[in-house]
Amino acid sequence: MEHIVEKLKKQITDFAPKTRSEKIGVVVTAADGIAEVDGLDDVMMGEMVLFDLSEGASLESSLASQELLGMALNLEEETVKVVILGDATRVKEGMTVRATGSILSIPVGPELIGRVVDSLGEAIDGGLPIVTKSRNPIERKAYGVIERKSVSTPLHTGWKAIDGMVPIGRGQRELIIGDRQTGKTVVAIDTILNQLSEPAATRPICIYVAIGQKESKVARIVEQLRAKGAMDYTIVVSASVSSSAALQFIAPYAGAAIGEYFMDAGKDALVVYDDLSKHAVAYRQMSLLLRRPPGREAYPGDIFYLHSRLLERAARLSDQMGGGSLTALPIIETQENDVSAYIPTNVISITDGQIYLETDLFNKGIRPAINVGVSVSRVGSSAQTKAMKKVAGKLRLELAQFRELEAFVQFSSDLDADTKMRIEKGKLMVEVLKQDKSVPMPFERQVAMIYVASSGVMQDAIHTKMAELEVAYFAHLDTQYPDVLPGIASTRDLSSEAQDTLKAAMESFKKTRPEFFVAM
Amino acid sequence: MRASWYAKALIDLSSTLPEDELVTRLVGTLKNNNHLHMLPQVVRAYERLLLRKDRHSTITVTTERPYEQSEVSALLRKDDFARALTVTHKRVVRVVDPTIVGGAIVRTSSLRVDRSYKRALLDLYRSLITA
Repeated sequence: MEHIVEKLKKQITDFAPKTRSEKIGVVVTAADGIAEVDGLDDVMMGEMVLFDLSEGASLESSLASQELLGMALNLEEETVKVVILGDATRVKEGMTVRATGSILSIPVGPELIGRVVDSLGEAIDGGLPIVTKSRNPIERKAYGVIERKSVSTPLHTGWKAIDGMVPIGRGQRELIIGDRQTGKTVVAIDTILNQLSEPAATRPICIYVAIGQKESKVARIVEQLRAKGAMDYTIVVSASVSSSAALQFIAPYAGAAIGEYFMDAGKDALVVYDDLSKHAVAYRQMSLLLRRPPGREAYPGDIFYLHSRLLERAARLSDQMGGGSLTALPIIETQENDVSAYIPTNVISITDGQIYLETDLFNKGIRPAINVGVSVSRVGSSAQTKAMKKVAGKLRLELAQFRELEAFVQFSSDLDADTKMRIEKGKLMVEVLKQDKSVPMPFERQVAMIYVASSGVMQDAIHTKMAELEVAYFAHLDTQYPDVLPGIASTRDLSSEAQDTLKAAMESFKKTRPEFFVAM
Repeated sequence: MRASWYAKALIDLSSTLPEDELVTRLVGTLKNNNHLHMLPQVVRAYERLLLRKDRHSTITVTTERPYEQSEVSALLRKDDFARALTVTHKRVVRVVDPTIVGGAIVRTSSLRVDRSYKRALLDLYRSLITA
């Protein structure tokens, strides 16, 4: 108490009121979240402006009211069009607007970890106001070629199918694309949850940006992350469907600005943009209100530039720059599996690969519903551990062959032994790669499971019991062979001894738990 | 064709032609160009431009109590305020606003110099809560 009083006394004594000379303008019209302002000479594109709510108001009410921000977006011949970042009903004709001289920025720092914030970095989780030491501009030029280095460190998602066949590296931009209700958000959230299995020193800070989502969905996700302990390294930025289009528009930039803070500090960060389709819709709404000319599907002409400059901010920095990284997982929702629509094709071309989720596969019970043929990671195996490279090298090819043969088998019943074997192996792999949501698997377990499945030692497993078999096998490994999994995790390699141990473990497991296998 | 373009032309011509003649000629021009339906918009744009012109040539001095002319003149001669003024500012409007608590605010169309106590107190409050 005394300490606080002393601190306040010092602050009050040291406080020197400054004479403010500031560039101002006057609101001429205000409608639909857009204010037309006369004045504001020399204002910059994207500059943060403040609506002066204190003018004519008593000191008491001025102290109680929160600042209302805007962003100058259209610099016209006589007026400036400003998007209102907040409650637009508070803006009135004749109101004074003052320029701040700086690009819109948000508070960033470790103080944000574990918090839910809006697009302006204000806490919306009912907790104390967030006070940080630094701010980052929401819009910043991405790092150039010299400052970067190639992506080579894996970011494990916890999904066997993804880490095995579509590996994601730290600093990569991997698109998650699919129709509604195909598990796009689940893939992203489980990736965040899986970071718990990473050592604390290399665990990335995760930022989940919810754009145009229902508040209830965001609340559910936050609850899920909190229950699993993932909020200890996660920040949620939410611009829900009830937020203004302007706030939805800046939300992913806010997420990127927060992620960049950690990247610049030499740490790894992961940012999920859920989803950029809604972001494009919000920008379209804003652009139409700003009377910018519409283009294809009524989106403004610069929608590609908008998404490319956002996703280009994902990077892995060189050692001279601290070696931090920012991985981006943008999500795009398609309509009727149409990946050739405007926004999906744009984002596909910007990102370093895509995870394509299909409704048909989802309905068949294949979850995650990844279409292996269309999904790709342009970083490839350089973002895989040695262990995963060894076991999953041929996985994509084998599964693609299986899909081809699977179609062929419907016409012909008389198949040679080799084809039959390939089909059976393919069926087994499909079952092995199935995974429930909210149970991400650490990479050493993924390696062990994919290895025993592809080595042929569990060819006689009953497919319908695969989930139970997996749990029981790992319990068997943990008790009977306790060194093998930690060994893979620490060396990140699958030695020949470990391979033999995994095979031997499966053989002994077959004897102890024969109910999971077809009697020979 | 924008109504504001007609309004701009009107503003420029207002010093050269008598008011009645200007109106007659405007209506005639609008009719000739098939733009007569734009007349209300042109009038609105003209009013807006006039207001803007007025704002650009006015200095508003806000104080917490009524100031004498001599006090205002002395205030405007102070460095902080003098810098904000240009030769195009022809008119001084005095406004009394008790909510500013003390001090003064001088504003032109695009610049404001705020030396009010209210602003100082608000700044102090914000520095305290963000410290």
